[in-house]
Order: sequence, then structure tokens, then C-alpha cells
Amino acid sequence: MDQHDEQEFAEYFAARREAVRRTAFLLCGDWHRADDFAQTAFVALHRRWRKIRDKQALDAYVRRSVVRAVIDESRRPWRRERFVDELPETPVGDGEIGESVATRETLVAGLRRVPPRQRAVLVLRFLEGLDVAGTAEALGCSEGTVKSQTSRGLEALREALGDAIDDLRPAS
Amino acid sequence: MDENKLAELFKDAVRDAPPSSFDAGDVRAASHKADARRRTVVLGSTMAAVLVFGGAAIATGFGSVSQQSAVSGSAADTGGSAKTAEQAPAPYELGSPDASVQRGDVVPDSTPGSSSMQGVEPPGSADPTVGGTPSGCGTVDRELANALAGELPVAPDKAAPAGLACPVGSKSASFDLADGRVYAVVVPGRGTLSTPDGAALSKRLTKNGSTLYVVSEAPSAAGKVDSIAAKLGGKF
Repeated sequence: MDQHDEQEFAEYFAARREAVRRTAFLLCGDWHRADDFAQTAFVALHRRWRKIRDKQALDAYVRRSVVRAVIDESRRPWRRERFVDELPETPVGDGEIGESVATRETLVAGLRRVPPRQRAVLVLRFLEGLDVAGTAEALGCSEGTVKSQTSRGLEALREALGDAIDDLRPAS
Repeated sequence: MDENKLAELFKDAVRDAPPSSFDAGDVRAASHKADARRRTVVLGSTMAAVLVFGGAAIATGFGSVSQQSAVSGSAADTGGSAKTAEQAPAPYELGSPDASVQRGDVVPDSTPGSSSMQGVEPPGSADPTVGGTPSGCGTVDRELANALAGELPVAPDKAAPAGLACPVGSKSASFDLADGRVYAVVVPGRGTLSTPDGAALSKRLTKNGSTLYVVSEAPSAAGKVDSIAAKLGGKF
């Protein structure tokens, strides 16, 4: 890449890194792995930067890379998530901060019990705020699939969270 | 739980992200490393294919009968060793699908990192870690690069390897213009070099008896290949 392309990439990276990390975190539940997935997606983007003429497609490309990487890894035997019968106990903290931490950990743990593809749909729709069409593009599937995966994912999340779902409160 | 509340919960869950463990420099470094690895793999497999087919090409029409049988026998027996290539400096075809894939995908975009790496190599020598076969076109000849850069609106440190399958002992350098690539290759003796369809080409013998090719895939430099070749031919 020439200097101009490198500069463009650096600007895009600075603008999007945190958002991509956060998406990766909710997809995998761990910040270290999230950084690995995010970095891998940006490296793939950097290698293809000159070939991606449509800069509007950059976000979709990065999302697709992250989601695909997380789903692929979840299929590997040594990475296969083991489901537990109950959620881990959440710490009882003092006041609002404690509640916020508890809510966060409960939600992340609950998400990990949702099948990877459904989890991806929920994260793209509720964290990234994508509509059905945008989610379908990111996942490379039809809008009908997104809708059905959304409803199954929500059902799986409710099952995973159980009664805890009623105790979850957003910080704001 | 309604979906708005769920969205807020999701956003809350990622609000306190720890500092990132990687930055843009890490991404660039990993990207260049991946490109270099890919070049090594593709060059290696391309050279192996060229040596096998090169042996067959020699048998059909180049060199003496004894040389042909020795070389084609060697190529068949060894599966294309470097020694075979040295014994028979056959003209290598650029237009094969493997070569075009190599040029399109393997030759890296000019970057400060890769250029500086190229700059520390001795001019004209092949990087033994790339493909294992000293073709000369997998590295940048610094002298040739500086001379070519003097004729183009480019900075000398932006030179990239021509990435072509060239005869052993060749020197090369290339630069990316906005509308395509321009490259110069000095082939030992009267060696030939196939060029891509549609590219402008100028070829002349150099003062040292080698053959200089200046090729432009960039329309903006197509009209200059003759004058560039004339100037460079006097130096190599």
C-alpha cells in the first residue's frame, strides 16, 4: 500500500477498533480472545485494502471477518464450549457498581450459552444496532434467516438467563 | 424484556473495555508478515512448476540435443532442482497462469516496511529464503531501482520486486504508478522474457551484453519505455 492507503487505513482503524473489539467480546466473552479476533479481522482488511473499492463495505467486511472467525473457532474440538447447567454465581457488589458488574457478567455468561450463530445475530442487532438487512449482509445469509435466528437467539438467551433476566438492569 | 432494554444491556456489558492489546502498527506488521509468507509459498511452488515445464520446453526446441536430454532427464528425476535451472538458463514464460497469479497476488504493495527490507539485501542477489531458487526477480536490484526511479515520478525507496519468473542471474525492479506497474528486468545474455498482453515493452542490449526489458502496464508510462530503456541500457 502507498502512503495514502496506509493513512486511510490508519484512520479507519482508529475510528473502528473499539467497536470491533466490543463486538468480538460479546461474541466470545473474553477480552483477550476478543483482541485476537479483532486484530485478525483488521489484518485481513489491511491485506485487502486496495482491492476493496467500496469503502462503505469496510464495516461489513470487518464484521463478517470477526463473526466468521468466532464461529469457526467455536467449531474446533479444543474450543468447543462446554455448557453448564447453571450460570456461575455473580458477585454481589455494593451499590450500583456492583449491580452493574453483576449484570454485565450475567449477560456475558448467558450469551455464551446461546449457539454461536444465534449469538452473532443478537450481538449485531442489539449491540451494533444493525437492522435485519444489515445483519443479513454481515452474516451472508437471507433476511428470513436473520429473523428466525433472532427469535431463536432471544429464546435461548431467556432460557440461559432464566430468572436472572428480570434482575438485569441497564446502568442508565 | 423488551428489545430496547436488551440493547442497553448489551451496550452496558461492553462499556468498561480494557485497553486494547494491539494498535495499527501491529496490524501492519502482521499484514506484511502474512504477505511475505504467501510470497515464499507461491514462489516456491511456481518455481517448481516452471522447472518441470521448463525442462519439457527445453526438450522441444532449445539448446543442444545432449543438453536437452540431460536437462529434461534431470528435471524429471529430481522434480526440478535448482542445479537444473543453472545448467539450462531457458527462457521462462511470464504468461502462464501461475506467473500471472504470482504477479497479481504475491508481489506486495509498496510499503515502507517491505521496501526497507528489500534495501538491505545485496543488489542483484536473490534472497535464498524466497522460494529457494535464485531467479533474481524475487528481489529488488537497488542500482536498477534507483536508475528506473530517476525516470519515473516515484521515490526510489518504493521499489518492489518484479515478482516475475526470470532466468537465473536476472536483476529487476518495479514501481507502482497510479495506473499500473512499470518494471525493468536485466536478463543475462540474450535471454528472453515474455510480457503480458497489452503492456508496452522496450528491449535492448546493454553495454555489458545483457538484455534489458522495460515494461509498462501503466498507460501513462507506455510512451516512455523506449527512452527509459535507452537511458538504462547505457548503465547496465
